[in-house]
Amino acid sequence: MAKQSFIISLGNRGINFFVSIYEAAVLFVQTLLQLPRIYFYRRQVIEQFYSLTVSTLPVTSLIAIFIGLGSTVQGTYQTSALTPRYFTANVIFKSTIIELTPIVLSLVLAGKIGGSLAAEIGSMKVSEQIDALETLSLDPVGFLVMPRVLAGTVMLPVMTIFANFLAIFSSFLMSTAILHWISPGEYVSGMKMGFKAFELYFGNFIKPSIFGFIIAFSGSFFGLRTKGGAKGVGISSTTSVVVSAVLIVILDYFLGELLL
Amino acid sequence: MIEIRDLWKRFENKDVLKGINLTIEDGKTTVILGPSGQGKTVLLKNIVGLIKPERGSILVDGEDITKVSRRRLFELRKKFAFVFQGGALFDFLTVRENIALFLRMHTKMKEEEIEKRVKEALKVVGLSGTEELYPEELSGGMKKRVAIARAIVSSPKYILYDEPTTGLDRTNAKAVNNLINRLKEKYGVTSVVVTHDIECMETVADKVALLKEGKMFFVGKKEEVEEKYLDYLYKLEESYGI
Ligand SMILES: Nc1ncnc2c1ncn2[C@@H]1O[C@H](COP(=O)(O)OP(=O)(O)OP(=O)(O)O)[C@@H](O)[C@H]1O
Ligand SMILES: [Mg+2]
Repeated sequence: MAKQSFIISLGNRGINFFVSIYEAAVLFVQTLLQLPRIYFYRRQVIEQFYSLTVSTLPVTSLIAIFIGLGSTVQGTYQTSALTPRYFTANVIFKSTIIELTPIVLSLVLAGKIGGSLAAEIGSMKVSEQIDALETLSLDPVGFLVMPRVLAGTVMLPVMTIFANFLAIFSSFLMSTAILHWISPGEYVSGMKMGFKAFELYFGNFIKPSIFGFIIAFSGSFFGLRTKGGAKGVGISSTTSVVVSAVLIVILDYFLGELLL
Repeated sequence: MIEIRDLWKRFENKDVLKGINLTIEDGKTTVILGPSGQGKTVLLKNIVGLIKPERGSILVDGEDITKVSRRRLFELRKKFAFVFQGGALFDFLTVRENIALFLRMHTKMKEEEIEKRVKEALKVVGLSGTEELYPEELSGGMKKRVAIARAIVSSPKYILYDEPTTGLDRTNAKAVNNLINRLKEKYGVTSVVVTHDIECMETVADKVALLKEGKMFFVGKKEEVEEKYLDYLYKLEESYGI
């Protein structure tokens, strides 16, 4: 008996998984179809760009500074005295702006934006505000999802670039003014070494915009699926954060494999 | 006129509506009474296309709202306003923004004109001066009335009320009942009121429909309900633990 119900529950889970994938695909198409309505929903779009920036700027700045400091301490500690210093600077620079900042920032923002998006939309769902939008002849996907997904996709690269500037600046200061292990001139020549435009583009535009899309889309998706009261909202919020964080880490590997 | 014909709706394995027939006449208030969990909200949501039925039709001025395209549905919905059970005010918008939303999104009205309409609507519901407040700062009764203000600002032909007096004290409930009557007299609004509140029924109804086990088992005048179906009314209140 127990074995049988275990298999049935496994089967149900499998079916639910594919149903979810299908529903996500439907929402994705609906979101795309709302893009031409961007002028109609312009107030909501502007509002989302604004609130996303304001709500994430402090935490972005904070973690950016510490990413710079952390990678500097690690970089100098891990490389031996035999490696040229500008080479160490080069490793710190590249690993920070291509890998460390995008992924750490995305994971933190998955918690911050994704979680609050799912909770926000989820609580609208359970209190019939989504239905209220419909009765006012406003499409919930156009009014809520499209602006958020757009803001996430566009703003994450902007935040990443900003964070990278801060991270490198803090690393530069730490290296040259506090630790004194390298001269400013040497640090800069390290940064220029083996400089590839595509790598920069990849780390600062492609990756963050995909991650930003995943965060905002999964927040919206799980928010809209919320069932039941406050408990359902909590579940949606956690699910959204976990799913987007896992997808980000997995995609980070595949994108690196594919494009670099 | 709204004509509901043989409407069926099921969720998972449970038939909730089992062949509803009801005609809602223009300029009148139709009250639908029914015990808790019997599909009153589901019926109301069917009328504005928030829920699709398995079978049957709902003719809104001759057009079947259950079968129109989504684009047409959005047009048809502009004839309606829906006052939700809990108000469903947008909690990220102020009272002013809640009421103004429809006009801002769907009309080319100037800000001054919108502001005027918002003020008017708030005056009708007796809540002048609350424009800057957020829903969380309002009491239950105030929320319901702001929801009604949001409903009337678009000058709808039909207003659907889901339990407009539930959870309100007597004073607030009376205010809401009077409001429903006033909107009918002043603007000729056609209202559908779903409730289990007998006093509400007595104050606003021109026509009463009694819902039981997914069907309308009586449609007629309220005097007749009070004569013939006292039992039903008692059971109704019991189902809500009153
Ligand atoms: N989206 C849904 N999915 C599954 N079942 C639902 C859904 N909506 C309603 N139901 C079920 O349909 C039945 C009728 O629900 P409805 O909300 O219409 O009741 P009601 O008459 O409005 O009750 P109340 O007075 O308590 O609000 C309930 O048993 C409910 O569980
Ligand atoms: Mg209900």
